[in-house]
Amino acid sequence: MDLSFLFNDYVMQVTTNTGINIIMVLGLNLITGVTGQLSLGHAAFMSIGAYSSAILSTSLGAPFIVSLVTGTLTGAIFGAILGIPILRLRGDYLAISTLGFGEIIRVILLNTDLVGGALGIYNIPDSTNIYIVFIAVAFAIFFMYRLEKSRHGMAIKSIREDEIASEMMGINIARYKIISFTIGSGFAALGGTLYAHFMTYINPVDFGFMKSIEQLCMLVLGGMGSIFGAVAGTIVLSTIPEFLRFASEYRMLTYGIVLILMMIFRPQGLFGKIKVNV
Amino acid sequence: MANNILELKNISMHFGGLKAVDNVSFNINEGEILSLIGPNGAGKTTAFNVITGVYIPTLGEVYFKGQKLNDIKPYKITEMGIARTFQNIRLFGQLSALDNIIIAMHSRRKSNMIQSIFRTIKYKAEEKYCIEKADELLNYMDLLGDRNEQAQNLPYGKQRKLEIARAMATEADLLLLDEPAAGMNPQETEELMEIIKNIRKDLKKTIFLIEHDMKLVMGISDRIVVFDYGQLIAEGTPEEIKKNPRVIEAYLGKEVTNA
Repeated sequence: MDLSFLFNDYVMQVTTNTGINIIMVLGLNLITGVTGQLSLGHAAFMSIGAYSSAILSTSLGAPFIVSLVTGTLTGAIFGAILGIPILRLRGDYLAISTLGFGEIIRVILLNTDLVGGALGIYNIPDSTNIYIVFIAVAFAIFFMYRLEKSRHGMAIKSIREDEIASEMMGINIARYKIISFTIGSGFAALGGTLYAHFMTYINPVDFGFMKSIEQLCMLVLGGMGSIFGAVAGTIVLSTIPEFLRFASEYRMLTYGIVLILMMIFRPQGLFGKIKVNV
Repeated sequence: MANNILELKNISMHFGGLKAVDNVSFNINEGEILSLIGPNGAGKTTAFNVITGVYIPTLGEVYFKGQKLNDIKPYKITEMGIARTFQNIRLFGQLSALDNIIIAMHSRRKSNMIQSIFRTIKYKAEEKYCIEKADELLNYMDLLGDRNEQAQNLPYGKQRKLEIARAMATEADLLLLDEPAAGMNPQETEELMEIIKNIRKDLKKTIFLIEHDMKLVMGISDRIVVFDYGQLIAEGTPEEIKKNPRVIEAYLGKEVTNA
């Protein structure tokens, strides 16, 4: 059978893009699905990774690996910084403040001439290729799987299940919430870094509220708290729009329909086993 | 005099104008079973919350093994050796019985994040040890058959037992049990009595429990303290408490003499 049609530029692009999304959604899954903290500002961390790495690569001419690592770490640090003040918030209050944080980052990027303002950053070297993305996805899945099984992951899960009981069983919930935000944001930033070096052009519009929602939709569709679900949900929602190009104006509509049907018939997501009360 | 493991000194816990616990002092001796009884709203659970660090007492001090607990975070207090169960069961419902126990061992484990991700030899040894210990505990509580069951799917009595097992898994010396027999039938209560006695005997734990079931309280307690409207109104052996007029009054009301 001739499978060469699978390896044209178009398929490669969609696959790379899907891989990048998987990394970010796995990060979101840690924060929202495993820790139970609803975040509506995940794209902000993606933008932090994308911008910091893009600046390094363009203005300073840093090698890709340096930009990649620095971008990821910058995102993780911002995750920790955001994690500290919002520790006390729960549910809708938490959602609103993460949303606010996301918008603040976007507006700052939009109004800072140093990072190109509304024009964004262009001429970023196209260092991201499908192999790097594959390695990053494999690493993300491996990392999340091992983390969840460890005593640290267990502690994080217990926060989702019952915060009070968790603290009473000797778990420093403040510390683990920050850890979860840090790692989750780090993966968002890793995705952002790969994204910037894949698109070679970024501007603040790419990282708006809709992007955060899109990532959340992928997670909810696949199943919160499930690594397999996060991956599957991302693949479905990253590729469906490609199949629906003929009806380009209605693409977002299908998104909505898929989610509504999902909530009615399988609220825990395609592969989710648990219910997350955020 | 027996060694006291926990000491409450003039504890008051006020919520605005409400004095939930009002100037209460008592000790728990090492190795004893002490019960806290009193009518609803007497401040029993509040006392538990003060001991475990959920509330910082308005006045007074709590000492555990000679160390002051007032400003210590709840998770640290658990690490020091006090663990509790809850009046309304608070298990990690969607996790297995085994995982519930393993989570409680958290503060006794040392593997760091890197070791956990790469599963070093040290991590594997710790993991193995924990699972063995958890199985032992489940077996002790007769829950081994339900080890992989989601905690929320267990029958009520088993959930209560699992909660006690979870508290024990923290390796605490002092167990605080908040109404462990609530909602249990007489047979289950009987069984629970045996379990509590055995825990004290086999594992050398000190037990402090809140309970409304008088048969259980009178049957296993070495001493009893009685609360009413936030105040300590009596303290003594079950026999003394049964005869204490103030206790009878708190439960049944005053006898009307000249009606």
